[in-house]
Amino acid sequence: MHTTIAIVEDDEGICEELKHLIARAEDLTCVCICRNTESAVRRIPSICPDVIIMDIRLPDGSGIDCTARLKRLLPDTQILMFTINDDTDQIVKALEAGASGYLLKDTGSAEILTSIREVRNQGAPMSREVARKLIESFHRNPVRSDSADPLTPREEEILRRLSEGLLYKEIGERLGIKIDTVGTHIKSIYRKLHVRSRTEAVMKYRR
Amino acid sequence: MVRLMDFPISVRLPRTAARAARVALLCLSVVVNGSAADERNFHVRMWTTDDGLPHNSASGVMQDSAGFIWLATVGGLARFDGREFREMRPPAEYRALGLNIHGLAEERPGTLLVLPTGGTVLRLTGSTWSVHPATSVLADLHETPVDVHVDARGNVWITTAAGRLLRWSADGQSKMFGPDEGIVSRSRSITLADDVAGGVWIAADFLSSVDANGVLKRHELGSIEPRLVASGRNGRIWAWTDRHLLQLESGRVVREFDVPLPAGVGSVRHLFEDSTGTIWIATSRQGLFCYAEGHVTRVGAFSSVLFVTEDREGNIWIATDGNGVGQLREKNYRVFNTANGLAQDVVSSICEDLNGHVWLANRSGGLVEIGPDGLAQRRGPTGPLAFANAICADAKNRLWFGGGRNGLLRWDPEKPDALVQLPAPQTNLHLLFRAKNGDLWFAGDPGLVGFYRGDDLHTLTAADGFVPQEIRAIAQDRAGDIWLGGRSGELLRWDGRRIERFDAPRGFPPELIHAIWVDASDHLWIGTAGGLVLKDNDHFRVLTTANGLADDIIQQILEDDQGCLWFAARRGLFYARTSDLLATARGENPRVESHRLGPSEGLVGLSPTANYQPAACKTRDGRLWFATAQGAVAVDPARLPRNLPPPPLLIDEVHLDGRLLPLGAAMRIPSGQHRIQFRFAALSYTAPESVILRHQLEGADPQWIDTGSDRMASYTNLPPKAYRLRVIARNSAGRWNDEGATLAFTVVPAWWETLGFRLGAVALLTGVTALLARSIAQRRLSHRLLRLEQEHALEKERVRIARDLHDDLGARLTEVGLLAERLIADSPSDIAPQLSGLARRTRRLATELSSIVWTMNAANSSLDRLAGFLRRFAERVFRDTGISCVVTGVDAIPAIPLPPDPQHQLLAAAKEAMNNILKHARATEACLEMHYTDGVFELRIIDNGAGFTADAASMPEGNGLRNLHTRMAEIGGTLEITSGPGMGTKVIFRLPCPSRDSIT
Repeated sequence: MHTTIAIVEDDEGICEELKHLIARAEDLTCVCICRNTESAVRRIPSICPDVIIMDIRLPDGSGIDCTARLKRLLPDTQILMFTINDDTDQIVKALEAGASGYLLKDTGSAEILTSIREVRNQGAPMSREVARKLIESFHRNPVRSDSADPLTPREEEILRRLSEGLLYKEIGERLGIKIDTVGTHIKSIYRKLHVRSRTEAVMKYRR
Repeated sequence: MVRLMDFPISVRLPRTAARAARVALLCLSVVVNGSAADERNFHVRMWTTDDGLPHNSASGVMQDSAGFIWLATVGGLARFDGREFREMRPPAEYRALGLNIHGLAEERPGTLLVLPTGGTVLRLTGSTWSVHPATSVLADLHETPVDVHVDARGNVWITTAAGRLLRWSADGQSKMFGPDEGIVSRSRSITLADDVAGGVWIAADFLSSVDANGVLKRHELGSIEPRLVASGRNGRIWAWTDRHLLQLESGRVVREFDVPLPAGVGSVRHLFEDSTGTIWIATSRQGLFCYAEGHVTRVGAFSSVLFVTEDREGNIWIATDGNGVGQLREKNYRVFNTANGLAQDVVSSICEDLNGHVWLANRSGGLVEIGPDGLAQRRGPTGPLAFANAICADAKNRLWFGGGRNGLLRWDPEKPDALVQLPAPQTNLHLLFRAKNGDLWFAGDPGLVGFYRGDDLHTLTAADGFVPQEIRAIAQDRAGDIWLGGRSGELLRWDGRRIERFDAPRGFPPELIHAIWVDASDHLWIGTAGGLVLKDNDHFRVLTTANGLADDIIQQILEDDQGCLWFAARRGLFYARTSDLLATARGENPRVESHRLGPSEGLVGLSPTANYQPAACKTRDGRLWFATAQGAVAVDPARLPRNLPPPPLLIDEVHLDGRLLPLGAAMRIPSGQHRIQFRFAALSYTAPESVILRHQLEGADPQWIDTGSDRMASYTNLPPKAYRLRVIARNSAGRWNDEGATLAFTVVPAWWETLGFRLGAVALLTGVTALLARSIAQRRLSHRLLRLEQEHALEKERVRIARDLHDDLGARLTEVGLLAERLIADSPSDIAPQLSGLARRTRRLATELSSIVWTMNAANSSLDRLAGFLRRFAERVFRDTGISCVVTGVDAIPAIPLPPDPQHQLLAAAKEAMNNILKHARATEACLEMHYTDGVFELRIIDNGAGFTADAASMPEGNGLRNLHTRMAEIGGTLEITSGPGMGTKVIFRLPCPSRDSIT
């Protein structure tokens, strides 16, 4: 499957390398490079890429906010956060804003490509740390609006297994479901996360 | 009224022929004996220069409205308050010719008129002297004032040396009366007397009177012109004509008295009628005479008396020429001893017969009868049997007496020659008593008690319940029972059949019994050697000096008609109100008030005898007789000055540190270390030593203070406040002036003591303290702010560094890593693995960097965040390495604050350990375990690799291990490495991280 990728990254050097990296991969094409949120919001929606690699910190604003805006405009686009530190609070916020996963800047190039492909397939990569944070987040903030559904017990279980460090395959084996089902559950979790966060934002706005 | 029998030697108007001879005899005796006067009727007390009188020659005595006694003497003017004389000296310019005071009168309350030498008429108000306007009038007329008198209307009459009279009316009009007006004084000096109508009688060469309007009228009374006039009571005017005393009323002679003074009395200087109607005559050669009820008596042994007056308490005052000033008080008692003709002074027993005559047992002086005329006469038997110790009259008016060794004798005054010596008891009797039924009781040695009923003798024996003992006292109660008491201290009662004993077991205190008395209310009083005992139904109550009794040894008890009990005690006579005694004995009063009859009355050194009974006797005329070693003393309780008015009381002077302060309406005294002394005057002249004061300073004294007989109170260091000093006084008769005198004054605070200043000072102090506190607080705050700012700056610096690192360095490292990986594909195969290594190292650099940045974030300075970071770090390190990594215990780590430095070192050490596993362990599993217990954080990194020997030399990582130790030591932690070949490696890091709780 051919994937179009947009890059939103302010560092020139990294942008270059990413571009080179993607160019090497045959199934990936880099269609847009933006160096700030403003240009990203202006240019990307019309291009409608499959995946956006978004730096968490951009010179003219927060990558998370940009993610939120772009996700609203392009609900089917997967957004990968690209960050140097793994401040999980930021990552959870990014996921709430609509990111589908995150990449650390010290990730190897091979892994970068893998993650892009995964996210394109809506594999929704989720690390243990993120899973832990999500559990915490869901428990800390019980659902306050009608439109946001709470997690099903299966979803909670999957999150828990994830936080323990099990791979998708292992989780599937434990729960007696296929890997794809696990992925579906995780997507559902993400969706609920997005809805929650969006609803919360709306509610905050309404208040 | 003055009684007849108090003037035994007197000249009387003839009454009955039967007495005529006697009178003649007495008259003769008067003439023969000269001044055989009864001095003992008046108690005379003199004050001389020894007592502070300015001079022993005084010409006038006057009591002012306030109550002070003023004395005009040759040595000046003195004011007497009963205790001390205060000289009041006029300013020097007015006494150029000496200190002699010629005249003295009270112009109005508070102002005196004084005539010093030199011719001025001075006014004295308080202590201020001023000149009376009459002075200039007199000076203009070249007249010298010699005497001054103020009449009832307040007009001032000044007698001049030339024999004229200046009348200065109250409204300032003056009129001179001289020969032209009818006043001639060539052969006689002028005397004045006020009459009732507001006019003045003038005795000069002629007798005249000036009425209230100033009109003079001459009076002709008879052949002789009166020498003197004097005002009397009830508006009477007395005029003296050398032999006769004329009583004038409304200008007419209503009575004429013949008052023959002895020859050689010189001239009569002054005439005065006292409140009892006695006329006092002061003569120039024979002193003082008093005339009452037709008798003239010389009083005292003065030679020249110039003035006589009376004070408001009834005491007579005289000014003598050379003997000082005297006070006369009529004695309310009489003493009968050798001076009256008794053979001995000692009287051992007294009784009254049925005729009211008093009989004394005068020991070897026999029996002495004192008749109604007051004359003591020896009667009775003479010879060896004429010894009498105890005496008692029986129902038939016969006299029984104990004659010592002679036993009991009986003598009938009607049959003077018949003396009966009774057969029994033949012993020395010391007690005789007539019971109401006529029984004649006796008691004698050795423990003999009995009575004669008619001629029958009854002696008390054991059969009657009587234990022989010396009986000293006897009395009979209303029921007729006889009470006896004696040396043993037992109280005995005889009801006619048996003796009943009251002794210690029955509550009766065992003291020698001297006297027993049944009072008018049938209370039984017992005089003992240990106080006065009252038998109150079945209780015995004791009164002693502790309760206010004047003496503890009570030898005789009598009761007067005025509700008092009288006691002859070892130290003399005293009395107290019976109701007071009862109340104190029963505990209702704290103290009883006893009044002594002592030196103030002229009784000095009186020793009542106590060996024989009856030694005290009350006669039907109400007098109380006591047998003493100085004679028989007959006290007339009715004459006691009980009706003395309460003493006038003044706060006389106030001294501040010895300086006299003017007494004003609002006295202000400065505060501070000052001594304030108040002087009082309690103006009672009847026994002034017995005047007692009490004072209280309201505001300083919580209670009344007994000033005693002092006349002052002093206070020091009174705090600033308003005060009121109150004084009350009691005269010798016990009357209190409860209203007393008060003085209100304020102690003014010094400026630094005032409330305003104090409040201001407090406010200032508070303000200063507040400012100080605020400035301190502010300084501290600013210090803290500064420190916080510094810390914050530091913090901001770190954050900036972190961000710079993150942005610049981090991005470059990422770029380099990616570049290196890209190059791998294009590079020859021998370089590829090195490029791969390069990429890997670069990536690790980036991780290192991110951990450094992480540490710099202040929000991560806690143990729990470190734990979380360690977990993520470990997971990333072992990702894709073939080593499965399990991290446990992170969630149980509490949020203990951990400063950046230990955090950094621990992190570095943990990373090093993990790298070792990667590089050397060849392990397949790595495990991180974290614990926090007892304030210690523990991190275990365990692998299942090859292990190593703990030999420093063979370990390629010698430095690394040493570094680990160093790192941990630097932060106060410990490192424990357990390893063995083939057994894996266990590295345990321990760091003490005390929680806030454990610190506090």
